[in-house]
Amino acid sequence: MISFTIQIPNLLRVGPVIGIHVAAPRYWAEILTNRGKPTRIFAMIDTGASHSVLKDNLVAILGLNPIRAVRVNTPSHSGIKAFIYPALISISQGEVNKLVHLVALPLEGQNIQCLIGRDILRNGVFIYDGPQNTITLTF
Amino acid sequence: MEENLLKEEDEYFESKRNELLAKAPGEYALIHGRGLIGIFKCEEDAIRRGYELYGNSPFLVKQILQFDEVLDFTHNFLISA
Repeated sequence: MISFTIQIPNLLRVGPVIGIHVAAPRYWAEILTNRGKPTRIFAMIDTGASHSVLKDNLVAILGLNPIRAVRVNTPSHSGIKAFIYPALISISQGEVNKLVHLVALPLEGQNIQCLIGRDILRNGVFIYDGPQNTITLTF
Repeated sequence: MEENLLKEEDEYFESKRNELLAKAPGEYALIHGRGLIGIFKCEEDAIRRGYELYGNSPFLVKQILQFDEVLDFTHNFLISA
């Protein structure tokens, strides 16, 4: 298991946001040698999200391809069509690498480009330490 | 994102859903255009094969179930589409 703790000044206001790298899956990147380069984005750990989400306008930048469409319900709309993208995410300077599925949706707020949901967290431990302004992730 | 992306593959899957359900329920179908390329027990194997065959060209990988999965999000980060 790999564990790392991040200090986030004003955790209350900012939330559990971490920098991660996202790229097309390795086997795809091997085919597309000029693509699939990891891009650093900001992701919020969101235990309220059952699935992980990528801001939809990043799909083309990251060179990701969808593998299927799904229907999504949000508090204001139901049955929205969205696409699922396989991607490789890398956390803590490559210590943790995971092949994940990201749902591309519009995300509010310029600083949040990705939500790390329970589909990724189910394989790890997440500790939110409010008094210390730290979060700890273990995979 | 183009609205028509994977539309042909989705329509093909829908037309074959019952046939696939009888043959391999719960497994994963790899579809490109209007052709079933293969059925895989593991989703990652289907995705890997799709990339090997089609690279940057979109392909569909979908679990063979009676009903499609619907994702529910209950928080306010998502902008109304």
